[in-house]
Amino acid sequence: MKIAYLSKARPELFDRIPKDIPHVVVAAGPDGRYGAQELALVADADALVVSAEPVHEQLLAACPRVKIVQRLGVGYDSLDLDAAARRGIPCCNVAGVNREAVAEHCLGLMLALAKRLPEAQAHTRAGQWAQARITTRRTFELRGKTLGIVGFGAIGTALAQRAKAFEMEIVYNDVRPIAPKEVRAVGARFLEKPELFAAADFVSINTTLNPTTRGMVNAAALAWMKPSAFLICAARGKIVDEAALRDALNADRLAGAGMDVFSTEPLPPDSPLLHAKNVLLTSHLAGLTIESGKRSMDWAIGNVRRVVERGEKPQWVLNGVG
Amino acid sequence: MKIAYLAKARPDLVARIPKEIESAMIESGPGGVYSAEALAQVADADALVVSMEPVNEQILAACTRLKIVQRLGVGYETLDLDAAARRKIPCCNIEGVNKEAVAEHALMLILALTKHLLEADRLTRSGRWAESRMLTQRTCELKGKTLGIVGLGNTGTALARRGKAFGMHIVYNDIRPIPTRTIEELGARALEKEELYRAADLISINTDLNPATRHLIDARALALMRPHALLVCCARGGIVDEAALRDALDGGRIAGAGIDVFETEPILPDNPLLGAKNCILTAHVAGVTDETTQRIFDWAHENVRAVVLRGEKPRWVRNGVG
Repeated sequence: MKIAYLSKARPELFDRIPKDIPHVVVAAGPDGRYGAQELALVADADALVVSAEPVHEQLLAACPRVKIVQRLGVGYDSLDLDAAARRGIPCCNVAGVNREAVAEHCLGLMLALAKRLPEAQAHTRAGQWAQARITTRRTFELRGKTLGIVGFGAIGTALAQRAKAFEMEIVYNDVRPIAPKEVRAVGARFLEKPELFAAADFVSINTTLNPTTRGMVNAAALAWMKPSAFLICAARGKIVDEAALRDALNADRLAGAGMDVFSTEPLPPDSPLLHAKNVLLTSHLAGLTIESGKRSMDWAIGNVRRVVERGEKPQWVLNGVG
Repeated sequence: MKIAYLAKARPDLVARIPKEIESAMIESGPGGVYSAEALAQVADADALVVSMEPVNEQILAACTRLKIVQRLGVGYETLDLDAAARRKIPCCNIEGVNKEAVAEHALMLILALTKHLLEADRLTRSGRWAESRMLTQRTCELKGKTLGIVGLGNTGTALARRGKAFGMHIVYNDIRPIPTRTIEELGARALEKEELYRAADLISINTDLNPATRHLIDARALALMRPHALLVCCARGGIVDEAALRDALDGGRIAGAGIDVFETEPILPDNPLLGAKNCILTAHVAGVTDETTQRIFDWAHENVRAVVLRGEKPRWVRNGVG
């Protein structure tokens, strides 16, 4: 069995690749297409294991032996599901593999923003004790506040469960009907998006990136939010209009934001968010921990073996194949 | 009614004193000794409302009209309870007023450490995306980890409840018997201190400061902890031996620490923790938010009025008077 890993050079990934399975690692060019050299390397691959690189017609046409396209994560917006389906190739992710890691990250961002941690730490380290205490006039508890979760899936519900222990009120929005059991478990209330954005002290975006959610958090949506509210997004870049977010923050129409994902990654030096006040920025690592990295690779390779070595049906199929 | 406020570096407090209260604010000098000028300002006070300054024989002797000593918070180790009792003056704190705020701060420090949040923010905003991604070789999840709580009182219990919602296993040590109902609710296990230090992935100190807990966390205790363990202390300075903690962090004997309280406050420029790696420092603000500060202020003043203006018995008496 030969695996082609589709990834930019990422040492933290290389450490996790099982050394006993023949493999190559290739990346697409800046235009999203693969060079002739890369295509030659993957021509005899039985499986594509995908970090963030695209999977599309050009690539699939070059590897006729591929039996599975397996994401090393949850999001799959870089996969052309139809192109693979037309070839009878299942596209799979590892649903749920990082739900706790992302939920924990969202809560960490919420707490650090509520307590102004970067400011607090900077003052303390600089010996500005009095200034650090003055900052507390603008800090608050999560207890009793309202968390609005857009996207009440695996990650959204994991976040809700944790937030409930902080005695937060949970409101949610999702285009899919959610099992009443999930909703009752956290005492959550459904709200239409405008009402949710208006009611929340924190809005957390936990949807996938799809045609409905692309650009969903735009100037209009931000305008629904309270000036004292915070936005958290550890889902996908391109859901939030970054220039609009910068404008809202700098005009004090929003209190702060915690962003783990960006419309262009790596974050470019001209990103509007680098010129916004009251933001915490992390580099698309909410879902990636020592545990989840290992778990993703284990689950992914397990699914690949299932299909390629044992001819069984794969788990977590996204495009209806097999 | 005249109130003497004993506070150092608390501009956030000054702003909250209503104009109609006749008041003075003083602080002690080196060695906890008040100057003659300071004492002259408070000699006619009916009440001492105390931030962290000492209430000792010297000041009690100077305030001949004193009817109550009221802490603006929970801990009361700076009050000489016996000296006040001999003068039939009740010493009061405020119980339970900020337990959730402290628990939230402790969890914030824990999440900021496990997710290397501040480092990630710093690297991401300075264009070092790849380096920030490499942090994921050291980030970890809370789920499934063991949280060891030393002192399962109000704040320890609030922390344990939240920790449980993250899927952590709770172990604790407390010299007092804990209600069975609480233990069952938390699924918590009692451990001897040494066992707790050995077993826990995350350790939170939530005791008060008393002769038994001074330098509780010393070099010996730190040596028992696991190399990947994280220590947070939002209780009192003096419980953790700061030089020993610095050594342990330097030597990789524990992985990181979040400290909100220091043996001397405001923090001195030569505090060993200022140079420690993977150490988050905040300025005794765990229990201090805009809401808790106002709540503490309101409850404290209600207790003072009850005693001074209405001759009622005070609440939260810690030295058996009245």
